[in-house]
Order: sequence, then structure tokens, then C-alpha cells
Amino acid sequence: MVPFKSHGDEDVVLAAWTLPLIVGAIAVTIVGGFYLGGPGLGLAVGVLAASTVVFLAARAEPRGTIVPAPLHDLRRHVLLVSRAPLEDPRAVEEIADLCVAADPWSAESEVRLLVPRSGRLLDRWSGERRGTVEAAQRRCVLSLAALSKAGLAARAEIGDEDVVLAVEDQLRTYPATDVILVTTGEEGAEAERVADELRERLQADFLHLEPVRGSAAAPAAERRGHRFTP
Amino acid sequence: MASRTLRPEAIAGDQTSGEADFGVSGEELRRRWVRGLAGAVFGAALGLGLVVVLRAASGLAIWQTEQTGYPHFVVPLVTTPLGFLLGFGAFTYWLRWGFGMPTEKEDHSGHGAASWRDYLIFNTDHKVIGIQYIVTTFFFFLVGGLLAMLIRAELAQPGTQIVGAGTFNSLFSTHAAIMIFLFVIPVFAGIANYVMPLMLGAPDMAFPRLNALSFWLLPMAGIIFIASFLVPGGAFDAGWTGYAPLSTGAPLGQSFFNIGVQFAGFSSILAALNFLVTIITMRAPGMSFWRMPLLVWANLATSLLVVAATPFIAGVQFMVLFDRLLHTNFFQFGTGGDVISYQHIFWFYSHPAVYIMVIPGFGIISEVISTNSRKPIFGYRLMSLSLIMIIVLSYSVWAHHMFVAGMFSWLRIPMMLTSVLIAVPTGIKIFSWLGTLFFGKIHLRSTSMLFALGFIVSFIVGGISGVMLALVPIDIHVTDTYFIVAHIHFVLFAGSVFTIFAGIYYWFSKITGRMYDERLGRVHFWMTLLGTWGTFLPMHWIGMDGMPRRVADYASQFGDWNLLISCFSFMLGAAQLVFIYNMVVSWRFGPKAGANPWRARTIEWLVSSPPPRFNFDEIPRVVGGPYEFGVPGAVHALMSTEEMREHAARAAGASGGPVQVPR
Repeated sequence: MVPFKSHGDEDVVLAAWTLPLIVGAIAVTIVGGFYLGGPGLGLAVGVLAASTVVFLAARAEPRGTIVPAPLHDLRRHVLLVSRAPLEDPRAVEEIADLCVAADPWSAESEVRLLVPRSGRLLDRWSGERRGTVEAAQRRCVLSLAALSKAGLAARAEIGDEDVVLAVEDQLRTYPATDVILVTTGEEGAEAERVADELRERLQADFLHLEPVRGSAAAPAAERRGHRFTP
Repeated sequence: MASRTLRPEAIAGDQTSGEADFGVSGEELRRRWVRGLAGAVFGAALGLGLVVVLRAASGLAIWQTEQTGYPHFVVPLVTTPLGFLLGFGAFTYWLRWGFGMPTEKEDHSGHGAASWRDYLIFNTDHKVIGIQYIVTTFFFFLVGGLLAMLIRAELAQPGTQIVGAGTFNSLFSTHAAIMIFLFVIPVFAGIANYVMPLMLGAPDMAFPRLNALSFWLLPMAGIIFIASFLVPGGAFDAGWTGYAPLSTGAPLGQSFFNIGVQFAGFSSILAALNFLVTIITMRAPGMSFWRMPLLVWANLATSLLVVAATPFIAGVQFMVLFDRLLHTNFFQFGTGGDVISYQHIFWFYSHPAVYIMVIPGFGIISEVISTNSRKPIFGYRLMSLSLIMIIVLSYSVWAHHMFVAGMFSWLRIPMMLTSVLIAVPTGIKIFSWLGTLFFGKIHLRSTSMLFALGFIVSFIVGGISGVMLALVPIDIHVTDTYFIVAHIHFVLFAGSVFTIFAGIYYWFSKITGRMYDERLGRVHFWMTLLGTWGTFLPMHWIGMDGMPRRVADYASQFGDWNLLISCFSFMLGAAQLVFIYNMVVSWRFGPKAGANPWRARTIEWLVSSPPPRFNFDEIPRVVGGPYEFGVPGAVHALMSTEEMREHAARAAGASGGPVQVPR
């Protein structure tokens, strides 16, 4: 029997036998601390145990499935997620092709561009909004212009700094059938983490695009993700 | 935008509310109260019987009272309120469940309020409980305030005029105990009870029955405190601190304090547990910790403090009670007890309690200032983390109350340093509010905003005198003088009580569905501000000059200042009558309020005023931060599927240019 069971939409249920076990383990450790090292060690162990429980509780984010809003038509709805402006014409062309291609219903696709805000550490901690929103709006305009030039009409929204949260927010109202994450290759491990989490949690087709480094002749974008079908 | 699918089923104070198809009838109300009173009589008889039987079984004189700490009063003092609660139905569900009997199916008949009668029963609706808390605690605020007026009347001139020294001791002790345990701490629980589940997008608190029990323990504590005036020897007179051995040898009234604190403490702990579970497990989808309104953060921090700290005061009051009643020797120096340990344990609770009494107010001020400046909170994350820093540091400063108590002298320096250090996270909050106000579109016409600004200015004074008191040389100089009285009142009255007023004015329309009279609100504010500063500011000077606190008489050199202070205090008292009048009349006859009169962003403003009986038709979906004022198209939460569709349609609408940036 596993101690935690995830029931789909964010519920985490603790198995009945685990609670007394956890409480017992904490109590035995504290009593052991008092017995072996006196009040100092006992109190220290108690504080450590309490801090660990609080820390784990605070860190235990619900990681349920991200389910898009229900579909109301037969069109393909693509959510294009890019923090950086889409400027490279070849990359934009390929993205546009991906967005309009493979429409099983031969109807016009709806494309929405999601631009997560990005700010410096100081902006984040000071709660600075105006600057980061204006910067994201500029990136929106640039990307939409580039997509429009490539023949793709899209609308754009600005999202949370946390890309996964931005996608989650967006899909509460947007019935995405496909989510395409475009990264620049400069985000490093963070881009991989975001892609992995979206791949794991999204209940929609997901694709991660990242430019190939060091080869001017190579295609502008390389498909690094794989299709995830619910 | 208010959810159009939501409609109030009953408006508090509305004459048409009797038409609702729920609520308790007059006959049922009478039946429950009769059962409760019968339970109280049974509890009293049980307590008395227990004492008699146990004393008889032990071969002791059955009716011996004074020498044995009045067990015939003290034990029934515990069993009578419990008997009342039992008869009132507070434990019915749990007892049936515990004894394996079939529990009654929840038909929600005890949920929501269709008339005033529903406020007088064991109601499980967080909104009803919130109002019960607020009204009850304001009643105790008036009682505590009347005691303060008596104190100031006595102190208006040197010599004793109205009450003797003994009664004076009882007056300031009960004044402080009532204000702290029955007003400031629980009124925040009341405001949070009403507002927080709505802010979180939750249909109710996590444990509704426990929530109702938390409330009903509170009037028990109040009755016990006030009843102490009626017993032999008078009310408790060892101060709200109840220092041993002063308290261990005091007359019977002291036991009323010891037991009243247990009821108030249990109420606090149960409410805090409920808040913690509600905050951690019942947030609407999309509401991450970094998207919680700061009031919720404040209550999270406060609840952690309450759960961890309150058992210390409960424990130490039991120890005093056992010394008094069972002749144990915890604090009796002559028989091997340790006098100083009382103060260590007491202040290990009571210094964190200062933060319990002010942190929820910080949350209220953040809501009011952000909304009335039309700006996001400056440094939202720092604000949240500073709360956590405060609760961690608050456990390391208790002995600064004991610099002259005869404790280990080496303990003074670390306690002085940590006491100064705790000003840092508090300072972060002050700077953050100032940063939020900076270049904001400030709405000064709102009374809640006036109280918020008045709080900031006044709390800085209390904070600075607090830093002064943290320094050992200054503390030794002003210990037990009126400087301490000035400091605590600038922190707890100009601090906490101003935030309470700000919160009441801010959410009045949400709670009652009516608007208050803003003109009377401003009169209340200016009289309160002037009264507060006129009363407590001069106390710094007479304190520095050496006027001792907690005495009915004083040297004639302080006479003029005390007369002035008393005059301002009567003005302060009169201001509260304006407040009560405004609240009562506006609740009854005020113009109907819209869902969101302040154009705020948090979820409680997205439902009707007052909110529907079960809060939401559908659980809201949080899609943004709570304070994104000035961010084009920003939305904190979507209320219903219908609204989500509208939002999606707007985003994908055919009209408009190809570039739309609605978020």
C-alpha cells in the first residue's frame, strides 16, 4: 500500500495507517533525544521535526492534471507559449506551419500566444508589475507581428512569471487541444523542468520547441518534446 | 464583476429575511436554550457533587472552602459551561459518533441565518459565526472600555475618589484581561471567520462544528471573567499577567481568571487549527501560496503562533490553579517552588501573543491600503516572509519583559538583541505600505483608509517606544511606569484596534449588505485618533518622570497631566458611541450595498453582499494575483463556468484589432 494516493484532480489522500506512524516516529525521536541528550537535544529534535513538517507541508504543491476548458467547437486550438519574442523568421515560419498543420477537421485553427512575464529577482520580490507587464506587452507585439507576417493570425495574453502556472491559468478558459512551448535555449535546466512538468501534467498535446545551437544551416527549430495524448 | 448566478438568500438585518425556507423557529430556539440552561444546572450539580463525594471519600471536611482554594466554586466553574454547551448541542454530533450511535444526517438547517434567532444557536455557517464573534467581542470591548473609563475617572485627580485601591486593582486587571482575551484576539478570529473562506474560494471552514464550538467557548470565558466581581474577595486583581506568587495567594476571583483563560485559550487554539487546515487544504484551484491575499497569510502566521504558544499560558494557569487548589508547589518559593519560572512560561506565550494581536491587523491594513491606493502591494513576497520572520523571532524575545525580574543576567543581552532584531520584519511591513501608497491614487474619503493611515502613523510611535524598551538601560529606568502603559496602548489600541476598525468599515458592506454612514465614520475616526494620541502620548512623559502604573493614587505633580489624559480618554470613549450608533443604524437602515463598492480584487468582492448562504454556486478558479491593480485586464478569479466562457469569448472575440493584450 502506498502512503499517498493521487486521485486525479489535486486530491492527495493520506492512508489511514500513515498518520499514527508519522506521529509515533516524531514522538519516539523527540523522547529519544530527551533520553540520550537531555532537554537541549530533545528540544532541538522537536524543533527540527516541527520545522521539517511545516517545510514539507509548504513544499507539497498539488501537481494534478492540467485540464483545458471544454471544447465548444470542432476547431483546433493551439496555445503557443513563449517568454522570448518570436523574431527569427525561419523559426516563426516553422511554428506557424505547426500551428495550422494536421487539422483533422480541416477547420481554421485558433491560435493564442501566451507570454509569461519575466522580471529580475528584485522585481519579483518588490512586486513590481508595471515594468514587467510593459516588457511582456512589447514581446507580445513583436511576436504577433512576426506570426502575422508568416500568415498566422493569433491573439495574445500575458501570463504569470511561473510558466506552468501561466499555462494552467490560461487553460481554465482556453480549450487548448495543443500546447507548444517555445524556448530560446538560454534558459537551461529551467526550460527542461518546465517542459517536463507540462508534459507530465497537461491533458493536451504538448510540443517543446528549442533552436538548435551552433548550426546556421540547421532547421530553425528542433522538436524536443513528444506528443502526449491523454 | 459579481457572479450573476449568485443571489443572497437572506440579507442580515433585512425585514424580508423571514421568508427564507431555513432557520430556527422561536419555539426551537427556546427549546435549545432551555436544554442549554438545564445542562448548565446539571453541570454545576455534577461539579459540586464531584467535590463533595471526593472529599467525603478522602475523609476531608466536606464544606471546608477558603483554606482549600474554594473547590466548591472552582470545579463547578469548569463543569457548568461544559454542561451548558452539552445541553446546547455543541457536542451532540461527536458524542453520537463517539458512542457508535447513528449520527443525524446533515440537512444544513443549522447553516446560514434567516433571522436574528439563527445567531443565538449553535450555527455552523462561518459567516454567522463571524458575526457572532464580532458582535460578542464588541460587547466585551464596551465592557472593557467602561472599566477603562472608571479607571481614568479615578485617576483624574490625585487621591482616591471613586474606588479604593483593591477595587482599582480589580478594574485594571479585568480591563486588560477582557480587552486582550475577549476582544482583540477573538475579534480578529471573527473577521477572519467571515472573510477568509470567501477569500480562499471555499464554501466554509474546514471544520464547521469545531468552528461553532470555538465561538461558544468565548462567551463562557467572558461570563467567568465578569462574574468574578460577584464572588467573595472581589474580582481578580493580580493584573492580566497574574504573576505568581501574587496570584497563588489571591482571593477566589483569581481562580476565575485561571479558568476563564482556559476557555478563551481553547477557543483560540481550536479556531487556529481550523484556520490552518482551511488555508492549507481549501484554497480554490489556482490559488498558490504566492497568490493568497495578505489577510490569509496573516491568519496563517497568527494561527501557527496560536497553536504553538497558547498551550503555554493554558499550562501555566493550570499550574497556578493547582498551587491554589491542590497545594502543589510550582511557584511557592517557601516550599521549593520557582517564582521566576511563572514569568518565563507566561511570557513565552504572551510575547508571541502581542503578535497574535497585531499580525491579523497587518493583513487587514494590506487589503485596505492596496484597494484604496489602487496599487499592487509593494513587496508582496517580502510582506509574506516578514510575517514568518516575525513568528520565528517572536519566540526568542520573551525575557525582555523580565529585565528587572531577577532572572539570569546573561540572558538580558541576547534578549535585547533579538527584541531589536524583530523590528526589522515589522519595519519591512511599514516600508511596504508606504511603498504601496507612493504614487498611488489614494482614496481618503473611505473611513477604513483613514484608520489604516492612522494606524501606520500611530504604530510607528508604538514601534519606536518598543525598540526603546528593548534596550536594557531604558527598560530598567521605565519599568512599571506609565511609559509601559503608553507603549502597550500605542501598539494595541492605536495598533490593533485601529486595524480592527479599518477591517470593520472595509467589510461592513459585505457582511451586512448595507453601506455605513461615511460622515459618521470620519467623525468616529478623528475623535478616536485625537482621543488616542491625547490619552496615550502624555503617558510617555509622566512615565519617564517616574509615575508608577497600577496604582490608584499618585504624586500631585502628575495631577495636571492626568486630568488632561482623563479628558481625552472620555473623548475616546464617546467616539465609540458614534461608532456603535453608526453600525447599528446603518445595518438596519443603511442604503443597500453593491457587491464590490470599493472595486477590490479579492474573491469575497466577487459575490453578492451579503454573500449567498453557501458562498459559491461553483468553486471559483484563481487565474491571477489578488492585488493586480493597474495591470490591464488582470483578473484574480473567475467565478462560474458562465463567466469563464465569457472571459474566453472576450479573449477570442472577433471585434478589435489583431493584437489584444487583455492580461
